[in-house]
Amino acid sequence: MFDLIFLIILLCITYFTGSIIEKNHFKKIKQREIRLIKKPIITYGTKRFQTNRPVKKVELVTGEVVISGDYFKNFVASLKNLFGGKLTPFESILDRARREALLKMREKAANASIIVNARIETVLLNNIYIPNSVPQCAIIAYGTAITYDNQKKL
Amino acid sequence: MTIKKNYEELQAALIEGENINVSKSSDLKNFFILIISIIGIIVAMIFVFNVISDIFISTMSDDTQIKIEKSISIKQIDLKYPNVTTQELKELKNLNNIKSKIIAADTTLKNKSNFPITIVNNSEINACILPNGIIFITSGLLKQKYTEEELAFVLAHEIGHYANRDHLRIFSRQILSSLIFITISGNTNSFDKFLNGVTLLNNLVYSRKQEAAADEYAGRILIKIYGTNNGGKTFIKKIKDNENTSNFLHYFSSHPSWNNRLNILNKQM
Repeated sequence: MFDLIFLIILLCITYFTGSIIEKNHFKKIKQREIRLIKKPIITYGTKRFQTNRPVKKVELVTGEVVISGDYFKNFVASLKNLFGGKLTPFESILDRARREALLKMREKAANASIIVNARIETVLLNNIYIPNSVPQCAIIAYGTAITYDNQKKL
Repeated sequence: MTIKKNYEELQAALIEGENINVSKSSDLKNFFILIISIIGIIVAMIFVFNVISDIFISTMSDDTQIKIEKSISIKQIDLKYPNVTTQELKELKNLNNIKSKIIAADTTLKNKSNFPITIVNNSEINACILPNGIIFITSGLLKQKYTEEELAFVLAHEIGHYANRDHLRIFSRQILSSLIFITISGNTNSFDKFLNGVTLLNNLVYSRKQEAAADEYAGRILIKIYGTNNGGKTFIKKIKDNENTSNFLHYFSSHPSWNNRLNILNKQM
């Protein structure tokens, strides 16, 4: 009986804390995205980048985020597993993580002119076949940051 | 320049606007819909299984009942209580006399267990019965100096559980609960806790019904032997005066509230 009461209390607490954290995170993500609108430009499809402009620096930039759902979201997802369908509780977590990883990558390349060949990878960190394992995964955004040398002329 | 500015404004509007990657449906709403539907499924499953097991147990022959009881309980030979005082032996004799009266009053108990009574050294006021009919009575209960009718009520209540085949019903419910657990439960610990809680609450409701049925049986036996069930009423009143539990707590208890138990006996006479 105490297990059930404890579970209800835990669900209530994690729902409120999770909602507040998520709301604040989205707010910060939006602010950072707007700040980074101007630069650098990202290209996702370029396999071979060619330019006539003088290049100052070429480097690999990465942005990594490890995510996990809160207790409430995991609980709702475990209930949802019974019936199947869209796992909507995890959608917001995945969206936050993907945007956060991209932002980190772009912030690392803040002085670069362009990020080419950018990719997003997802890695599952836990073993889903182990009972009671917490669902968690890492999102890695990476690309090649190119900085043009504006002082040199063609 | 204006194209670039327009592009930036468009981007900013997209960032600030609606996020199509995240569903609009609220997690809390999903949670309640899922909880209600799962509870509904569990309750329906428990109800269907209960009806099946009740039919099976009530139509079970006495021979099968005795066979199952023997296989799931300990034998009296296994029980050793060296510290029985002479006073307790005297009380044991008294209890055995009352027990014989109860067995004589209910013909359905013939050729079944002979309900051996054992005293347990414990200060609590309590009694219980094993599936094969061994009755345990605490020394704390005997110290209270209850009257013969009151003790008859206690014994008849325990024998009532046996007569109603409550132990077999509990046994079948536990098997069914585990079946539901295995089929519905995933690997998550929290979901297990939730299922456990729902089935526990359901079992408590069932247990209260069984206790009420045992009280009803004990009341009937008392009326048969003594012509009145006053022994039961006075026993419950005495226990009720000693305990100060809130009425709300009985929803989480395996027994009905003392008032409800008194009402059952009052309805009989």
